[in-house]
Amino acid sequence: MSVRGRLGIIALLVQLSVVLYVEPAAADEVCNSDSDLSQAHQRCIFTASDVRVLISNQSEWKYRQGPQLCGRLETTGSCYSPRACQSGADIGTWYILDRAPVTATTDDAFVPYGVFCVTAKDEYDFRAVTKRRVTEEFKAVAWPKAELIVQPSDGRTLVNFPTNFYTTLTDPQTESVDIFGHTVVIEATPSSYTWHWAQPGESDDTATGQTTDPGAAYVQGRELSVAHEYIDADVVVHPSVDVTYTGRYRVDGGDWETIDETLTIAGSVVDLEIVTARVHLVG
Amino acid sequence: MKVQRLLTALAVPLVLLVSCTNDNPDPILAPTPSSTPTPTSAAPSPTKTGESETAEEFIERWVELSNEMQTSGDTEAYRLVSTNCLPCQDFASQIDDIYESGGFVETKGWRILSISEGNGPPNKPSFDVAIDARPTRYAPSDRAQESTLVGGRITERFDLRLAADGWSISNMSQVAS
Repeated sequence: MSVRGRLGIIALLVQLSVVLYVEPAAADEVCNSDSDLSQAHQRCIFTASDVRVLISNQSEWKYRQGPQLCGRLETTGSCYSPRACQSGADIGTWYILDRAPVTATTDDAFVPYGVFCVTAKDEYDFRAVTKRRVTEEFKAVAWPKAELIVQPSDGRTLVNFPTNFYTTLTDPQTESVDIFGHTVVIEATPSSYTWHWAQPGESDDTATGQTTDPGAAYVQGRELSVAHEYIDADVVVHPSVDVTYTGRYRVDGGDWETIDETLTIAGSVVDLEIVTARVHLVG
Repeated sequence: MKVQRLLTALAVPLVLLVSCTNDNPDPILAPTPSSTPTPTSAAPSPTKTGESETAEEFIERWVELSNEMQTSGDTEAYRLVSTNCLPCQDFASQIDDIYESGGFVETKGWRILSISEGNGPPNKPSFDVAIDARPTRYAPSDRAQESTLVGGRITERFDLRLAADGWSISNMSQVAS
C-alpha cells in the first residue's frame, strides 16, 4: 500500500474516532434485567458509591434515596426492624434506591429500582438515621444513675440482719437528639439492677445480685424484695446499684423501633457501717 | 486521563473493524421450541446433604436445580432448597404458570464462572457468584408469542442458611455491575 493510502486510512480512523467518541459513562452500574427469567423477581444491589454517582449524574433516569428496607412490614404499613447488610467487613443498613424517568414531574413516578448498603462511613452522605447511629447516641446520653437507698437509713446496719435496699429509678427516661436534621426520640427504660453489697476488697460480701425488681421501702409485715445480710462486722462497706437500660427510638414521630443493645450505668456508692448489736441490761 | 480517553476512542473503530471481519458469531439459542419438557441426562439431586456438602457445592447444586426446573417445569426439588427465598419461590411460581398455561422455556441456564469467598456468619454466609447466563427462549403460554432474553454475564448474591438438615438459600439478588 502506498504512503498516501496509509495516510488515508489513518485519517479515516481519526475521523471515525471523533464520530464514535463518547464521554465514558460515570459508573452507571446497572443490573441486567434481560439476562434470564429469574431477574423479574430479584432486587438489584448497588454499592453506596454507585448510588452517589447515579443520584448526581441523572440522564435518562433520575434516582433518589428511598426508605430503609423493612425487616417486617406490618399490615398498618409500618416498617419495623430495618434489615442489616454487609459491605466488605462493615455491617450496615439496607436502603431502597428509587428511580423515575428524568421527565417525571411528580414523586409518584419514582419506583423501587434496587437496594444499597449504608454503612457507618456512608451515613453522613445519605443522611441516614440508622439503628447503628441511634445506638451510638443511646450510649452517649447521660442517663441517670440509680440512687441506692439503704434501710436502716442512718448509715449503719447490723451484721446478720436483713438490710433493705431499693432505688426509685423505675420510670422510662426520654431524650431527644438531632441526627441529620431528624428529631430522634430515644427512650431508655430501667429493666434490671445489679446490686453490689460492697466494693471489692472491703469485706467478704462482694458478691452481687441481679434483679428486675427495683426493691421497695420497708413496710411492716411485708417481705423485703431486695435485702442482704452482712456477715463481716465492724467494717465500713460501700454498696451501690447499677441500672441496665433497654432502649427504643422513633424518628420524626414515627413508629417505635427497638434498640438491640442494652446500656448499664454504674451507680454511686453509699457509706454503710456494719456493726454488732450489744446487749445492755436496762432497768 | 485525557490521553487514556483518546486511546480508548482510537481503539473503538479498530475493534469495530476487527469485529466486522469476524464471521464466527456466538450461537444464539438452542433449536426448535417445544411445549414438551426436554428430559435432561442427569437430574440434580434435591436431597439436602448439608453435613458433607460445602456452601460452594450447594450453590452449584442449586444452580443445576434452577436450570433443570426451567426446562422441565418440575419445580418441586428447586422449591425444597429455597423454602425461605422469596424471589426463588416467585420464580418457581412463574415457571409453574408458564407450563400450566402450555408455554415453554428453553435455555441452558446459568453457568458458574466463579464463587467469591463468603461474608457473614458461618451459618448465614453470602456469596457473590459470577455467572454466564445463557440465552433464554420462552413463551408464557401456548397462545403467547415467543420471547427471547439475551443472557449475559451477571453477578448474583446468594444468601445461604445452614440448618440441621443442610443448606438452603434464603435470598438471591443481582449485583449491579
